[in-house]
Amino acid sequence: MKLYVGQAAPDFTLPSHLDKDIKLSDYLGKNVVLVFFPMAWTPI
Amino acid sequence: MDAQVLGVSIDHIPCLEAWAESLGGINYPLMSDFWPHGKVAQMYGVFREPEGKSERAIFVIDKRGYIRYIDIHDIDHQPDNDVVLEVLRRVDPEAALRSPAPPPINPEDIRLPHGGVVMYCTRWCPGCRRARAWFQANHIDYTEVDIDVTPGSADQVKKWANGTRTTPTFDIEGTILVGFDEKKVGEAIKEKITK
Repeated sequence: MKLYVGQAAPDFTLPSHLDKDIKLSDYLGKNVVLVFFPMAWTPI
Repeated sequence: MDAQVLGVSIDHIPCLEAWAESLGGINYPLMSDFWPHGKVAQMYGVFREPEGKSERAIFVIDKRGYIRYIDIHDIDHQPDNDVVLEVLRRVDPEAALRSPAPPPINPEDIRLPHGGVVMYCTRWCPGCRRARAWFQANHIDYTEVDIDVTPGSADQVKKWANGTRTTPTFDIEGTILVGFDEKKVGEAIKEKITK
């Protein structure tokens, strides 16, 4: 699904390497920089 | 800047943990989009179907949850942090006032090493690791410049490497080589140094 500037960011919950699940909407009130990277062990 | 960075890839957790450790620890969450495979990447329109991995993409989401910036970057290049910082300042001018940008570096204050073999690199870049191993195996002295840390060094690399932060980049007595090519580096050293 292609997204555009101005749209609401779809919410999600994913596990993280810091031993806790991350829910995007928990960060409302903060600016979020969501970085997708193709694979570990490559430049981030 | 009141900002939280969240990283996400299709790798599973043990892989992300190992990678973070190899980098000396990453203090922002690296999320695993492993199962269902690429579901969040698909939600954000950045899943590369045939390869089963995501694009290299950055979304800046404001405090109310709205997308304010999208960069689907060249998958082979590292996006520039300065660009993202600028976006954050634009999106949240109040926070920007509270965390003013550092003063621009005075060009006279930039001290980059010259002479001998100088390698511009980062802690995590695999090409840099290969180059280090090669230098050691061949008993070649070199000086490292970490472009994530040394002021002015990332800009220097961008000037040499067509605007990108390509590492490793070598300055061998004035001969500039972008990327690690054993043959070219060996030849430059022979020509400029061991003559």
